[in-house]
Amino acid sequence: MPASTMSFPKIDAFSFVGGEARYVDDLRPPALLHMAVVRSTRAHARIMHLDTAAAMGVPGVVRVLAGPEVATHLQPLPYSFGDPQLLGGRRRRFDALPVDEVRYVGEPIAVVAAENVRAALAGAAAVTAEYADLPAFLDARVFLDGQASGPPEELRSHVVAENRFSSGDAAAAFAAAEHQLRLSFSMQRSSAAPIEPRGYLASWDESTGRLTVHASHQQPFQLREQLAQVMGLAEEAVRIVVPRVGGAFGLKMTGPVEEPLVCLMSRLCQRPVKWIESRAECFLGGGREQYHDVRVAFDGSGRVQAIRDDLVVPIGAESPAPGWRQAFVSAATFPTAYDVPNVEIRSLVVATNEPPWHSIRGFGKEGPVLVMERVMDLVARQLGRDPADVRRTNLVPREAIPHRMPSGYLIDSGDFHAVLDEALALADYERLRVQVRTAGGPDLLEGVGMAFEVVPEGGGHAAGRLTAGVAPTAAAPESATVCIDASGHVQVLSGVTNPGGGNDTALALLAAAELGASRSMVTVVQGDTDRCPPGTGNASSRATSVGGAAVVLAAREVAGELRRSAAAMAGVPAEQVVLRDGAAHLPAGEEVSLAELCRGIVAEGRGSSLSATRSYQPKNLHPGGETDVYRYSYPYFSSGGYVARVAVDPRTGTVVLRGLTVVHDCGRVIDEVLVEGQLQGAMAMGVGLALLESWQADPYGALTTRSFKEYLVARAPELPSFTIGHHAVPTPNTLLGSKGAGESGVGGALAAVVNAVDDALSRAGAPPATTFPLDPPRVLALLAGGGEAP
Amino acid sequence: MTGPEQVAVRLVLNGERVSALVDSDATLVDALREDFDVTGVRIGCRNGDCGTCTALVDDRCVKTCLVLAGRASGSEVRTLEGLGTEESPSAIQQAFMECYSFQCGFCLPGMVFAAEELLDRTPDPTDAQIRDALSGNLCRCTGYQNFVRGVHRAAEIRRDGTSQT
Repeated sequence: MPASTMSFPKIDAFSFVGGEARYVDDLRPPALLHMAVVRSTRAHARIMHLDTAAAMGVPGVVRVLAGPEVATHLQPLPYSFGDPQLLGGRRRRFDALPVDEVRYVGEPIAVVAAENVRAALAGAAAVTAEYADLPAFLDARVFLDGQASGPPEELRSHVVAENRFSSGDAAAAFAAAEHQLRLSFSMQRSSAAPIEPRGYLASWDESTGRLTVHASHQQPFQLREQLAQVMGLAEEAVRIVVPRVGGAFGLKMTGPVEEPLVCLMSRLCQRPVKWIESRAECFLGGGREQYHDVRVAFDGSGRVQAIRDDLVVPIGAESPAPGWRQAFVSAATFPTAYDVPNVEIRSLVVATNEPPWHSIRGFGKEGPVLVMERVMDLVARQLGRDPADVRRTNLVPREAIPHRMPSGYLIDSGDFHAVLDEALALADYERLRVQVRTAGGPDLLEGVGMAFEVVPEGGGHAAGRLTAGVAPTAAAPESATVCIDASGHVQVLSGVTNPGGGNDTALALLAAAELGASRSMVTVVQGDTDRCPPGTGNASSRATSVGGAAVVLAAREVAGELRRSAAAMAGVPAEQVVLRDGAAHLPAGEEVSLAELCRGIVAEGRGSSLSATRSYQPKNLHPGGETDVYRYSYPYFSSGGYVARVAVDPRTGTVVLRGLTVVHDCGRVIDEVLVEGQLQGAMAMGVGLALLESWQADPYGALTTRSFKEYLVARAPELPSFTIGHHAVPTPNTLLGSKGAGESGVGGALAAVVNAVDDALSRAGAPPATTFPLDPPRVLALLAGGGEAP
Repeated sequence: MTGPEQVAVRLVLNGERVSALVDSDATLVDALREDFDVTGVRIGCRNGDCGTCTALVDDRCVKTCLVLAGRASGSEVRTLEGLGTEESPSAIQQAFMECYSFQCGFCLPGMVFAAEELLDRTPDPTDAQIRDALSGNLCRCTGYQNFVRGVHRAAEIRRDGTSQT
């Protein structure tokens, strides 16, 4: 078979390896201007004076915009993903550029458009600002003290939301507890850091009054809605087109102020304007940081009777982008996969003078997984028991699923005991456990660790009982159009988008299967708001499970029409026609190719193609016997058991990851290669969080991890090949029974690797690891008997 | 304020002679993209960290964000576009497509050329040799696992003397 017609695991594969794929920075329309952003150098200050005159004098500079002028053109930015009150959060107003006050180092204060990038940057450098500093709030850990009695009055202005979830009677359980533990955990701020940073190309057409925006983006329809609102345009006047995206991982959602600013610049200059983020700008964004003060009550068998977690989540400066919402999800995901009868979660979501949170793979679920998995290990250690047994004692049993969590999240499906046991077997855990105790020596400390991860996905992060005054929530639909033309070519137009993974391939496979077509007969169109039916883009692992369901429904409708046409031609009942191998097969053994069939339909004058558009919403089936009514929340939970093996060099503090195994349940697997690709990338990110990745700022709030030389991500030699197994428990809540495979792996890998390092260190007498990442300075500090790196 | 001096840059780019006047402080990656319309080198960091600006310059893997375009004048430069065709891809291109080695594809310039260079000097590399050879290139999508498989597969294709399966 010639290479060009081979069916590779990814559609359009050659366009990538041949260098033809077009990303947003590859687009260069005529008369293009380039935008640069002037950023605040102060964490919190009043802007006393902003001087743009010198910038206008830089050759090539066409326009400079600062806050006061922008405010005359743009409406305030709306919140993405709905009102903050859905999450118990306060509201505030967001303008594209500040007029009088800056809230973090790196906040945009002006934008410059110029004939070339050099002139734009020179113009930006020529803008000067005078500030009067205000007190900067950079360390949210002050909230950890006395959280039970509520935050002190002088700090209340920083509190964005308080999220409290409870079940049972934690106070009584602690009073009666046989054993107790109190643990503190600090999870570092980290950044999505795709290799392609953000980028937008805005083209205003004065003659039509239309704005076209090419964006490296995850949410074209949400971006269209936001831009229309902010710019005072009808939604039909805005077209978003997403070219190839060089990775997103949550970074490229709607909300950053550069989005409306580059569009405004295009409208004011009457020319196309492009803004491509620099690597240092990309690193401003972060997420995941959280501080936990955890108390655990348990009995001699390791059964956890109660857990109380006072957590503080610093979300950086408030922002309309959805990143800050992850704080709610972190609190609401406790106590993960475990059946703990008494739970008390008290979370403070706190604004600081650091750059705003962006959404980031895991969307808040990886923090609670890390905490609960550390807790399980430390309970086991205190009792001298096998950590696997302690987990088995506490996991929600299969027969108790569907299981309502204290927050109102609903675990829809899963078999946690089987998944854990299969992971342990696949990793040969029993042998490893013995081996790490006998191998190594004073020069090399070996460890094995495990983790159990649950990942609520499919959209629906708000939760809780639906009582009086509580706004209800509903499942967002996805939609798809499937059409087949007179040549038998199938086109799938979908409202979900592809951040660079394989969901376009999955959609093509699903459509082809319904139509009896080959995948090569299918083209997938995504990310163009003029052509595609609406959808949520790329979020919460919905593309295949929800977007794919819409494709299947639309394709089924087209397939039904094809069968009816073939049946009418042959004079047989439609049920006897089988679509397979690109043809309609008739009962007498005859076959009609799909192309021929379509030509016939077109010749009959029934349009130039057969087409159907359908949408699909996941369900939220409640447990039988439940009397309370709950908000709609995440429709499906993926789960996974993880086992990591590490070796630690006690002289250097270096950790070598020797192996990482997962058995994963994402329900029905549509395509194993694509699912495993998602897991591999997410697990690599989780390993990075355990050992390397850490966003850092100086004492004045200025980013110090500005490049990949300071912000370390895993490189090829630092990772082993992962071992992946599947244990599919389909969800009743989606058409195909498939669940999510996009976020799984971050929290599981993170927690398993941390637990493995801790296992190695604990046998050398180190105290428990509670502050992350476990980079060499921190490992050495633990071996010296302390928790904090010097 | 005036712009920098211009210098003439002449290259043999993917087999064709090309030339342009570029700013004397322009890096090779900018000249390739802006002046010679190449999209098979990309900008991920401008700092030599990520590798997605990689091209072959006089048959050596070079991070073109770290080289002034003027210094490369007179060189032969090969980018992804100059490697294979859809009908006849290079062994690495073929293997990376077969093994689902990449996802978003943004990192491919570095991955492809680092792998080509490795196989030129080490026809049958070990996992560790492959991971070392790829270590100058960052990928956030894949965890590198399928790149390692892909390089092994490319070694096999090169040995068998065919890129067809």
